[in-house]
Amino acid sequence: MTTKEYIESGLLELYVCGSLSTEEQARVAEDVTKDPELQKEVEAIEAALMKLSKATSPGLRSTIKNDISLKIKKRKSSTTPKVRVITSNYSYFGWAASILLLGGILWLLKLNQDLKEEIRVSSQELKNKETQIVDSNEKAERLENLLQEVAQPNTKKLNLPGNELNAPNAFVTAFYNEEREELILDTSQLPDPPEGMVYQAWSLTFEPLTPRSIGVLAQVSSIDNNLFKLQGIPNSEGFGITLEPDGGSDTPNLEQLYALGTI
Amino acid sequence: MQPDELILQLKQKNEIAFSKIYDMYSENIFGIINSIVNDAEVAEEVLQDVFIKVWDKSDTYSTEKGRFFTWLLNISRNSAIDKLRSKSFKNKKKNSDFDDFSFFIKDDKDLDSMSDGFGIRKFVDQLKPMCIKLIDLLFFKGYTQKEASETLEIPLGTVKSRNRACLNSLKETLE
Repeated sequence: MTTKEYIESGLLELYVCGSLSTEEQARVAEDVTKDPELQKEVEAIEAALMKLSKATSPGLRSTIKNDISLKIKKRKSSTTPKVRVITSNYSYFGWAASILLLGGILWLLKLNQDLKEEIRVSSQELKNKETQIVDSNEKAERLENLLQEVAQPNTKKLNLPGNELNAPNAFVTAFYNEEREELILDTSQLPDPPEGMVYQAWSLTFEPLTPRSIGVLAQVSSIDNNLFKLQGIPNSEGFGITLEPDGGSDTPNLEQLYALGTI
Repeated sequence: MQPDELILQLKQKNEIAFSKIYDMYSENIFGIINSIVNDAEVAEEVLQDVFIKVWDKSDTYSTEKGRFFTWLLNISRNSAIDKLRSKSFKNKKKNSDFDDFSFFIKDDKDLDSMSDGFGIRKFVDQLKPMCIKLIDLLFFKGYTQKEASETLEIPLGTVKSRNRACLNSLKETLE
């Protein structure tokens, strides 16, 4: 089919009217793009039909266009997401700053707690030291008192050697003031008494041998558990130390004699 | 000339391009719609729907399918026919003395000589009734060649050649 025949067939008019099938429309569209003469004809037909259709218009109100524009704007805004996810760097900085601040606050809280604990421990230590100092002072005072008594001119120093059988290497030192009826015992060289047993001190007079209890050492307050000050001592000729069951005994168990000495 | 650049921008949802395309085609489309629904108020409603569809569906148009004007025609005629069949429209009173598009073409005495419609009335009046019928069915109502052939009881080939002859005289008149 020549271009002229194509034009005169009437196919192009049907094409512009849209009266052909979809396949025919596409085929003519393709033919038209290849042939400028067909193209020109199609445009002439279209121009005529546009004039004809325009002539049938009763006249469009100018407000209609505005109405349509508004509707389109609404559609446009409703299709774009309303909630915009903010992904700018500033928001990241914001988050980072918040996290750093939170971290900083937690760190400061931790630091504060640690310092409080340190203060608590330190003040406890200080209290212990104070107690120790008071104890030491007390001990020093008592030792001084003891020394003063030992230094009295009428205080006699006695050696109570260890019993051959029970404690051959032990000994007890005693300071006896007859006038004041006081006796100071240093038991630092005696072995520790076994569980359930205590040392008991005895005043002795001879011919006949009469022992009198002058104190269960566990019941007498001591300095360093070794220095004992016993008071109300009757006239004595010697002193002995025996091991007795807890609470002490009325008469000494001579088999458990640990130290014995005479004046 | 087909405004290919504007069509491309329309497909990219450019409102300015849409506005220009509206200016280029709205009166023609309005004439087509009104020739079908025969009620200016209803035709306005349909026209709004048509241009919103144009906006929404512009990406479905491609030059391989045919002319942009033809694509517009199809949307317009289909929308107008849908309206015609709708319940709300059936309850409306219609003009009874309406047969085809020529009813709506104004007399030259009502028009400025510079107006686009000037001379059309005279031309249409000279057209044979068969021509008016063919143009009405094929162009205004969107009948296929086969549908027109059956409606008018003329052979398929005759539809094509007669339509060509009718439109050719229009073309010559307007040139």
